This record gives sequence, structure tokens and C-alpha cells, in this order.
Amino acid sequence: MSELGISAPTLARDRVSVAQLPGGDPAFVASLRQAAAAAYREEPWPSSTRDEDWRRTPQVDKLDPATYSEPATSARETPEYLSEVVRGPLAELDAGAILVDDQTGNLEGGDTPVARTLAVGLSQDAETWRGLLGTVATPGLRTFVALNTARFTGGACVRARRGEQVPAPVRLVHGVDQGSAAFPRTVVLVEEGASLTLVEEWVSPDGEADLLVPVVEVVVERGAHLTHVIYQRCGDQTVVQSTVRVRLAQDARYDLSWALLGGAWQKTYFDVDMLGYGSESKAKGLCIGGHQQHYDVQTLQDHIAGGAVSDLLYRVAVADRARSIFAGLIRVEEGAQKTNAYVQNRNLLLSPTAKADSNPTLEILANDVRCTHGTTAGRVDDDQLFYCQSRGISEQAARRLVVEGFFADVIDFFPEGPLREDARQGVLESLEEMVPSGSLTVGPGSG
Amino acid sequence: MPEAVAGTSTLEIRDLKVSVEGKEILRGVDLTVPKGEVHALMGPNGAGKTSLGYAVMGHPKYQVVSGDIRWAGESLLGKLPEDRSRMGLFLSLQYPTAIPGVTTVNFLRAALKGQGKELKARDFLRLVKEQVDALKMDQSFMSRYINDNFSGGEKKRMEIVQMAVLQPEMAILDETDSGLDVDALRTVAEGVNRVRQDGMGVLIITHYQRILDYITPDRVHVMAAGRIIASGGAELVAEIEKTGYDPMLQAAGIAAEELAAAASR
Repeated sequence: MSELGISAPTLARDRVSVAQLPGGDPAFVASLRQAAAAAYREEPWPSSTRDEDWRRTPQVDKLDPATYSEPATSARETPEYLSEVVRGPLAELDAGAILVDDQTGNLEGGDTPVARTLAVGLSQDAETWRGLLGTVATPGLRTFVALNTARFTGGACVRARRGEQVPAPVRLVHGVDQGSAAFPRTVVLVEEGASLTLVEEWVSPDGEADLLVPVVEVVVERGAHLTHVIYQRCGDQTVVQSTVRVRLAQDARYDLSWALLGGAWQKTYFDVDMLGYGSESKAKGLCIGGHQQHYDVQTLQDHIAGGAVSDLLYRVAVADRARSIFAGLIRVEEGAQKTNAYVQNRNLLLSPTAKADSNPTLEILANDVRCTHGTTAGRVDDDQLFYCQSRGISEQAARRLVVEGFFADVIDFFPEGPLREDARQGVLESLEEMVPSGSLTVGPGSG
Repeated sequence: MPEAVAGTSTLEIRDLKVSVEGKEILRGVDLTVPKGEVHALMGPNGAGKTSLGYAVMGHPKYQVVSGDIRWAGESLLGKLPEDRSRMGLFLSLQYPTAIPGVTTVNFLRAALKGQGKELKARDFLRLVKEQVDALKMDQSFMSRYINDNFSGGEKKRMEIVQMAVLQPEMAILDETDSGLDVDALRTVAEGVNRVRQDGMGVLIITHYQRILDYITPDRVHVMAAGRIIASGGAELVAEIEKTGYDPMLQAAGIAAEELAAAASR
């Protein structure tokens, strides 16, 4: 997989070595890394035959991080593909801070009171981050969390202080290129009563085999509010192994919108721990797959405290031979009464060879709760097409209209302005891309 | 798009046989509706009235086996529904389809664009607003997803809004009157009478004479078992009201079994 033919022995399971932040690791980071390296060495590699989580993603069996090239150790100029993203549609977003990182570490931006590069934040604000880094996503949680923890160099520390209403969004761009592997780490703390908007982009260029392993740890304290937006615009040969873990305190609010629009294959975890009474999590995500893309998304709404509300909606359109896998678990722990939780996954199959597997599940250990799940998979409805056509809209435009409409409630959940427009544009462009391959002109099918 | 001259554009249906999934639904329909006239198409359940509307508009499920459908001298057979719409035809559906996520205003914009009638944003919004007002609908319907969670009556009114915005030359209204209360019925009828004044042709498919109290048809046709069995002037409506369809069915030699078989399809 390496373009340069240099392998990365530091990422091999039997020989994994820990990385260091630019300028060195604070002691708590160093010891966390040792634990992570040990977990990475000792835990068995994920297996599609043994692990339920990986049953439908056998690509993991053959994935070997050591085959990606050794990341450069010295900092470099921001590569063109990343500059393009920074200058892209979200340039109109009036961001208060922009941080860019890649496999070599942090490249530009940061060090505002709200957003600092990982290296600066973890060393200068060690007291704050000691209690968060590696505690929301513990090193032994999953293989790729362990690997990220052992190897992160780039990323960000984002913090809204007590009561602070941060006016401008924080924008983080995490990239990987040159056939290598990157392990960006983001730690986010929204303190009591504060509010913040955080935008993260996972990107890589087309035409090269890269591995992107982001881990995001979030704590939203009592009465605080985080609006979190994640865009994935990765190249056609990039493998993504991402984990987003969120912990909500009493009356905390978390709004997540995500758009997965590119990559070769991936596994993404979105976990929310409802730790505080009255906390509220709303997540709406979308994914568009074409060609042979394979998107495996697994979500967890873990109701540890009672009286909390969680709602998750994931909409997927797959064309060509693309495949979507979704597993969404609502877990209501013992005593978490008055829980209100909902998970739904809606799939639109744009070609007869596209596939979507959906498996929402409930695990309920309390008796006074309202939990529901829903899942659908269907094709573009013939009656909808005829209705549009009978009003003068061409079949192709009608398909696009119907598919765009399918995503409307997710798009409308993105914060108003450039973020929402970018999501809409991303959807339109992804659909446009599928037209030449004929994916949008399949024969009749019914919902 | 062929430019139709007022008074010369005619919808001509000749010996039309149509099948759906192999079953013959229309068995030789002959019907002529000139532009500028309002015709009513009545008949018992299962007569094939709705199928006729779909066949004229080119729904892919309705296969023309033989015969012809001509509009302004040109055969419609083999033409896509969007082409028929662009030629000036309109079908108001009995059960209008909801398209979640597509707002009414965006749907109408796409429809006008599809017809090559793109207006300036301000003119477009004014036009739509006027028609929504004319049908006594709240302006909030413009930003709602089209037909999604609309009541039956709201859907029917929205069909008439669309007709007024798209300004076709010939409209087929499939049971646009059913499910409307008296006030709504009058509003819809007024909408139809307005476009009638502009010289549009209208074929009203209905079960009831109710709507014909507000819209006086130039001609009335009765359909049963897949063909037209009687045609006449507006007086036919009163006759049907008085005697039902039975005398006409008998005269046409349609036995009760045939009717029952047709209704069960």
C-alpha cells in the first residue's frame, strides 16, 4: 500500500512504538501512551469472524497499519490539498480559530484561548486535560483508539470556559496524504453553562492509499451546549477508522450533524454517554456512497442517568456496488428511568447492486422508559417520479429532487449558514458524481 | 414545444385500449375534448376513468395496446410524461403524491424550470403567492414539503394551485372534488372557472354531480367497463342524478357481472 515502499514498523502490532508530541510529552501523556501501546500489542486484532462489531466489514482482517509509510517526523508546509480545503466553501464560515493538522502533526493555526494545538494545550493546560484525555475514550476501548493514543501528534485541545458563550465556531481540519497514516486527537471541554460550535473535517486526496484514525473525546458539563459538525471528504482509497465519544453531564446539550462523503472503506463509532439527568443529545447524519465504497457506522446512546433524551437519525444513499452497514444501540442502564431515546436509519438504494444493512437494537434495564427504533431501505418511489414528471420535471431531475428531499431533514439540522450550505452542496455534488456512472438511471423499483 | 393556436388544440382519444400488468382496463375509448371546452367524465367505480387520465399523461404502468391519443394533432404515444406536460397537458391526481423533503415552492420552481418557463425569483414568488391566496390556502404551505401531511382537501387545492401556476392548455382533473367540503369545493370550482376563461380545456372526472353545480360542462360522457357508453350535453348530469347509470348500462348491453368484474380490478 505504501507509495514509497517504506513500511512503518512503528505501527506493527508486535513492535509498536509510542510517538511524542512536538516538544515532548507531559508525564501523564507518556504514561497513557505506554498503556495504549500495551493494549494495542496485547488485544487481538479485530476479526470479521469473531467480533460482532466487524462481522460485515471483513476488510479489517487484511488491514495492516504497518504497510502505510512512515510519517515524516519533521514539520512541513501545508500541502496543497489541505490548503484547498481550508480555502474551500467553509472559508466563509467566520471561524474564531482554524487549526490544520496532518500526519506530521500540527501545521498551522491554533493557540487562541479556545483552541490550541494538541502539543501546546496538553503541556500548558495539563491540569485540565489530564482528567479528560484517555478517560472518555480509554486506550483499551478499541484497537484503533489504542493505536491513536500511542501515536497521536496532531490535533487540538478545545475549551469553552465556565459560562462562556463562544461566538465564533472553531474549525479543525485533519488530513492525511502520501500513503501514510495519521492519528489526530481532539479533546473538547465545554464547561458549565458554556456554549460552543466545533467543526471538524476529515480529509485526504484521491488516488493514494492513506489511513486516517481520528479520535475525538468530548465532555459537555452541566447546562453547557456543544454543536458539533463533522464532514468527511476523504479520497477514494483512504481507509478511515474513527471514534467520537461524548460524555454529557446534567442538563447538557449536544447537537451533532455529520456528513460522510468519500473514502474507500471505514468504520466509524459515535458514542454518547448520557451521564447526567436531563441531558439531551440530538444527532443527524448522512452518507452517500458510490462505486465500491463501504461505510460501516456504529452508534451508541448509553443512558446511564435517567430523564435524558437522545435522538439519532442516519440517512444513507448508496449507488453502484456501495454498501452501508449501520448498527445503532440504545442502552438504558438500570435505574435510568424516564429515558426517552430514539434511533432510526433510513436507506435509499440507488442501484440494484447497492446494499444497506441496518441493525438498530435496544437494551433496556429500566422499566419506565420510552425507546423506539426504526429502519427502512427502499428505492426511489415510482409514484414520486411520475408525479414530478407529470409536472414537467425530467426523470433525472426528478430523481435528484427526490433524493435531495430524502436528505432534507438532516441537511436542515446543520447550523444555518455556510455549514448547512456546504452540506447541501456536498450532497448535490456527490449525487452529480453518480450520474455518469448511471447509478441514478436504474430501472423501476418500488419503495 | 409546438405552439398551439387557441381553439384548434384538441385532445383526441381514438379506440384506445390500455392494459395494466396484462389486464385490459380500457377497451376502446373514443373521446374528443377541444381546448376551451369543459367536459365531464362520469361513471361507476372501476369504469376506467382514472386509468384514462394516467394513460393520457403517460404513466409507465399503463400500457397502450392499441388506438391513439393525440394532442394538437400529434400522437402522444411513446412520449414521456414530462414531454406531455411540456406540450401543455396537466393531470390533477386523485391521490396526489407526497415528496418528503421537497418544499412546495422548490417543487413548483423545478416544474416551471422543467417546462422552460423560468421566471425571475420575485415574479415566481408573486405568482405562487397569488395562486395560494386564490385557493384560500395559508402561505405556510409554500415552505411545507409538498403534499406531506396535507389533508385530502389541502392536496386537492394544491393540485389546482399547481395547475394555475403551470398554466396548461388541457387539464384532466381526477376526482378533484372528492373529499372537499362545500366551501373548498366552491373555491376549487372557482379556480377551474378562472382558467376556463383563459381558454383552457378541462376534463373533469367525477363520481358526483356536486362539482357540476359550480362548473357547467359543455359535454358529459359516461364511462363503464372500459369504454364510453353515452355522451350528451349538461342535461345528462340531471338524468344520471335521477335514474342512475342502470338505463345507460342496459342500453350499452353491459351486464351486471361485467361491471362487477371491472369494479373488482
